[in-house]
Amino acid sequence: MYKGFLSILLFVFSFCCFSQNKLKIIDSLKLVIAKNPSDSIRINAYSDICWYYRNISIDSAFAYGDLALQLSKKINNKLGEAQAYNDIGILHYDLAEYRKSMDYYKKSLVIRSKLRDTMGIAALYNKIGLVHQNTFKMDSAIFFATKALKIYEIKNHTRYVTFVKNNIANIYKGLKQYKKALNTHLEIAQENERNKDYLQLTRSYNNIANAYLFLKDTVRSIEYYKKSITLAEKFDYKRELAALYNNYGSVLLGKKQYKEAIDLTSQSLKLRKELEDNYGIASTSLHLAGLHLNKRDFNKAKNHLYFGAKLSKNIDANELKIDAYDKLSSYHAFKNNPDSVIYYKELFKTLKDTIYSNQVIKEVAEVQEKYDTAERERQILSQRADIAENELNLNKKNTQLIGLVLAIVLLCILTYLIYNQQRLKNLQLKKESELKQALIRIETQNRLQKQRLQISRDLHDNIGAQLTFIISSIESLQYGFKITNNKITSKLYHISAFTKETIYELRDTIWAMNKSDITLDDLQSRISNFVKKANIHSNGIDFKFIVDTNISKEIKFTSVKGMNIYRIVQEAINNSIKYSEAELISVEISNNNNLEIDINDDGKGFDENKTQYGNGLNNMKKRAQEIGADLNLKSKVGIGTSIKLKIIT
Amino acid sequence: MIAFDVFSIIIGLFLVVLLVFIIKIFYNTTRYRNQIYLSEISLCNLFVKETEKSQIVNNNFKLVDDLNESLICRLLKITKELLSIQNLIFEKPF
Repeated sequence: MYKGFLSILLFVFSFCCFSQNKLKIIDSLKLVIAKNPSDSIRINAYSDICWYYRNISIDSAFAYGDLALQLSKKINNKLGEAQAYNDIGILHYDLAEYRKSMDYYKKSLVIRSKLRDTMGIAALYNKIGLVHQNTFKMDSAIFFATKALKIYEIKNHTRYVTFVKNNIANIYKGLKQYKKALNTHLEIAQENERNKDYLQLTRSYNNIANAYLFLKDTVRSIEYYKKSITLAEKFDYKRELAALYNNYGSVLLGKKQYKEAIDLTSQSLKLRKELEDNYGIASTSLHLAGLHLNKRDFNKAKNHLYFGAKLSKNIDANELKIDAYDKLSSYHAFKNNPDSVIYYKELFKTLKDTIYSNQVIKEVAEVQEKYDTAERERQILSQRADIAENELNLNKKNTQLIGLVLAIVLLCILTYLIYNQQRLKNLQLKKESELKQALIRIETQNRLQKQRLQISRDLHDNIGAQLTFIISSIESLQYGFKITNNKITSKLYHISAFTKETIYELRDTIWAMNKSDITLDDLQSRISNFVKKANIHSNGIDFKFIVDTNISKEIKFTSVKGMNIYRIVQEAINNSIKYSEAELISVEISNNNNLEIDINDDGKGFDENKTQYGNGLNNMKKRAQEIGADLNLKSKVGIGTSIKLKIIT
Repeated sequence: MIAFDVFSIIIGLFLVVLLVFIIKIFYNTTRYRNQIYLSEISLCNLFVKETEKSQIVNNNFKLVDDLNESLICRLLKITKELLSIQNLIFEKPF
């Protein structure tokens, strides 16, 4: 819990450090250490204090760096150890102790390589590159800067890419490739403007101004110096301000404004002394010496010259040493010391040849070529990635297009289905309405017909009753009065029989009307009854009624058809009884594909050609025609008559 | 390779919704067709029954007409006979 709290505290401190006074941060970190936290937190705190003391007290920074290193070694904290070596290396670099700085960086690099700390390794490559740059080993400088740049580009760390590019541009400057350096610095400045990184922007403007100066474009150089100085003064960037004063002093020297140039350069030296920047002190001292030489103030020039040369030697800054030797030879020339002039000229020439040897330039070009190849490969990869992305976009668009086409097709199907459903509904409603109307019509018609039928029935019942009354009256007459007149008796008997027949006919019709259909069985029973009655009333005539047993009793006729068949049979038997003088009348129902009814008698018969058919026979034919039956009459004189009725079932 | 994004997913969902609607409407139409068929059969049956009834009534009317025709003939005949008896009675005594 306590450890966690301290970690959070440290984290908060690390974020607040940009807005707080460095000393306050250092005090806060010391307070954290005073609370006796875990060793790892303590190491981080020592390391942070070392970093914040860097620009305040270099000795204190070294002390805390050592504490961090010792503690890391003690508890075998490799990460802390690497960080401590790195911090101490930076401190030595600040003091321009490049050899020591390089040793510490290398130690840190070994540990970070083992830990596979890629970002840490990249930072160290960059710093090693800077050391080489400051010792004017440009081939090594560009080699390490390129390695760092590769890592930062892979990690897509834009800010650090800008830092490294800045260093590479400075290397170009060191190699006197000013145009290349200028372009790189302009590019970096744009990036810094976008990122609103004002410290880096100040440095970029300074670098651009330097490049323009080397390219002899003083106007633009001054413009960028002023822009850079404004920024540095605004944000109190002392280190940058010192460099800017020094550089701008050089420009003023070129314009022969010695006094202003000496003032600015002196301010730069003062700031650099405050910062304990040995390289800067050496550089500015030599610069100031140059200014004094131009003013022919040899004493001041001598002091600055020897001080700068000594410091350059101590920090092993080749570039400064060249400058120092050059200026020393000039000084001795002014002082008329030819031996010294030759001596320093010789030193100057040897060192310059070493630095600008063709070999060095060749190696730098090779490293640059390697970097360019890698850059091209990266661009190819980037293009491939773009192509893949385009393909992906195309695929997305295709998928969407297919989806949209499908959606349109489905919408069409849906519309058709809805239309079809609606059409079906309308059709059904129309059909249903038509059927219902027809049904209502037929129902109404049936109801009316039934009413009419009922009226007919009532009428027939009335007629039946009246006929019965006639029979009863005739019978009363016959039996109530003694009628001697045979003709009247016969007529009365005949009327009574005829009336009875009428009543039977009435009853038969009513019977048929009461049935929706008449089965063969019903018809057979009706015919049988009629035959029996005929047998009773006809003396001397035998009757036979034969029905084929194979005939299905389930054969059905409509009431009209059944009634017509019955009437035909009835008429045929009546005719035989009345006119044939037969002894035997037979009725036979058989089934030869169609239903056949044969009425035969063995009477006197008649000649078909000579005899004119009466109403009875015509009625029979009419009825047969009505029911679609076939009626055949055959008669032979002395043999008898045969009537065959073929009914299609 | 099929690539998806938000718009594609929306189109996909829209397609699914459309498919669901199509299936639902197709199912409803089929069910409605069956209902129509049943209703039509029921109405047709009623119609057939009524037609049969009408047929029976028509048959009965034919029978009645036939009977009426026969009855008229027979009644005329009976009247004629009765008139002839009347003549006989009034011409000669019993």
